[in-house]
Amino acid sequence: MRRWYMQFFGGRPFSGSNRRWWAGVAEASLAGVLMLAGVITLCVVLTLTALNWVPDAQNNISSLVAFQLLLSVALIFIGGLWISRLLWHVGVSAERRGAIATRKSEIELLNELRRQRQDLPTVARDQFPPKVGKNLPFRLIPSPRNIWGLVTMGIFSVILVAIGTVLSIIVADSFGFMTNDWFQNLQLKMADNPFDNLSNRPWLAAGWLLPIGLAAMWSIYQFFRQLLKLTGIGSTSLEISNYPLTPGNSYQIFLSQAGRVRLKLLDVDLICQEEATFNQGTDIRTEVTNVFSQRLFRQRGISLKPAKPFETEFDFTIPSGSMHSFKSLNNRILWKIVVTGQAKNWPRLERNFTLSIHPPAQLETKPKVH
Amino acid sequence: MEVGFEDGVDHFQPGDFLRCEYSVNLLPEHEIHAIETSVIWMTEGKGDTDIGVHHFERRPKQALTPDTFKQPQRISTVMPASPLTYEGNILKIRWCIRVRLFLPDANQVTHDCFFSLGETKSFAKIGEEIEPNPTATSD
Repeated sequence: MRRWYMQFFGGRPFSGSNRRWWAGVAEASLAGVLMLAGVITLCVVLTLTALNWVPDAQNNISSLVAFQLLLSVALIFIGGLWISRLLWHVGVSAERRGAIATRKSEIELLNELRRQRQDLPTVARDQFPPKVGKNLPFRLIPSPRNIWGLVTMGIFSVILVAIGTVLSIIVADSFGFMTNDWFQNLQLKMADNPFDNLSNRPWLAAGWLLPIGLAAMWSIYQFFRQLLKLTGIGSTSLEISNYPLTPGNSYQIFLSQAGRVRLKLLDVDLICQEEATFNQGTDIRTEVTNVFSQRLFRQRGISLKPAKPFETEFDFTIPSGSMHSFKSLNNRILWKIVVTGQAKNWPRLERNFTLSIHPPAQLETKPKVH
Repeated sequence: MEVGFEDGVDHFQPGDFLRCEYSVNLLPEHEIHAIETSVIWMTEGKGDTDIGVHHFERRPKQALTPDTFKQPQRISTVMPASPLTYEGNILKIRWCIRVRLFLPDANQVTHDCFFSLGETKSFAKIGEEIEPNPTATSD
C-alpha cells in the first residue's frame, strides 16, 4: 500500500487535490467492483441452476433464483453505467459545460464555416467541427480517445471471471467444500448437469482453475489500470482566435489542461502529415509521413489540480506558402496541433486537434485574364 | 496533336481565366470518332492515383467538322480555389489539360499539358525560413 502510494504521489503528503484524486479512484473502483460483483453472482446463480436442473420439472427457476438473476443484472447495469458516466465526465467541469451551452447564439459562425467548405471540395472537411469557445471564438475538438482498449479489456475480464466462477463452483462441489447449509440445500444432481464431464474429473477443473484465475486477476488489474489512465489525466481544451486557418496568418491559442498529476513536460506542436493509401496485393495499406513539424509551446514542471487546470495563451503562424488541407479518395494532407505531456508513472498524454487550412486566396468574383 | 497556353503562361492563380488552344493534324486516312477535352488535377506518389475533373467537354463525331482540324480549338475555364499544385514527399498534386482522341477500333490517343495552380513552397524551404519561437523553448 505504501509502495503504491509512493508510486503515485512520490511521497508527498495528502493535500486537498490528492483527496479528490482518491475520491475519483474510489468512485472508479467502486463502479468496477459493482460490475464484477454482478458478473460473479450471475455466474454463481446460473451455474448452480444448471447443476440443479431437473428435466421436466416445474420449479427449476424459483422466485429466489429469479430475484438473484435480476439483482446480478442490475449490478452489472449500474456498474457499467457508472463507468460510462465517469468516462464521459472526465476532467470537464460543470461550469465549462454550462458556459458552452449558453453561447449557442454564436452558432452562426459555424454555419459560415460550412458555406466556405462547400466552395472548397478538395479541402479536407473537419471530422469534428469546432464549437464556440469560452475564451477565444472557436474551441477545437480533439480526436476521440481510444476507449476500445478499456472496453475490450472489460469484456475479456468479464468472460474470464465468469469462467473462473463456474470452475470454482464445480471444484468446490467436487471436493466436498460446499458444507454450507445454503449449498447443501441445493441438493446437486451431478448425474443430470451439463458440467458432468468436468464434475466427474475434479482435478481437470482444478487444473484449469489456476491459469484462468490468474488470467482473470491480470485482466482485472489491466482493466482498472486503463480506467485510471483515462480518468487520471484530465481533458485538454484548445481554443483558437479564428477558423479556418490560412497560410501566412497568425492566430492566438488558449490551452487548458485539467488533471490530477504533475507533468514533467508539456509540449504543443504544429504538424503536417501526408497520408497515402495504396493497394499492395490483396491488402490496402496507408502510409503516413510527417512533412512539417514546429514546436509552438513547451513548459516543464506543471502541477495539474482538478480545481485549477493549467492555462496558457500563445501565438503561432501558419507558415506562408504552405499547402492547404487536402483530401481525396486515397490521399490526404492533414494539419493538426498535437499536445503531448509526460508525467511520472503515467502513460504519455497525447491529444490531437485537427486543423482545417484553407488556400490563401478564395475564388475571386471577377476572373483575371492572362 | 499540339496543346499550348495563350501567351505561353503555364502558371495560374485561383480565380484566373485559363485559356489554351489545341490543334490536331490529321492525315487523310485518319478518322476521329470523338474528342474529349478536360482540365483535371491528379495525385501522384505512393498512394493510388486520384483524379478530379474541373472542366470537361466531349465533341462527338457529329459535332466534328473539317474546320475542327484546320484551325486551333480553344479551351477556357476559370480556375478553382483548390487544390493547389503541391510537391510533397509521398504525395504530389498536379494540374493538366488533357485532350483525348477516340479513334476507330477503340483506339485512343491522349495528350497531357501540365501547368501549375497557386504558389506553394516545399516544407524543406519553409523549415529553413522559420524563426525559433521563444515560447516553445521556455522552461
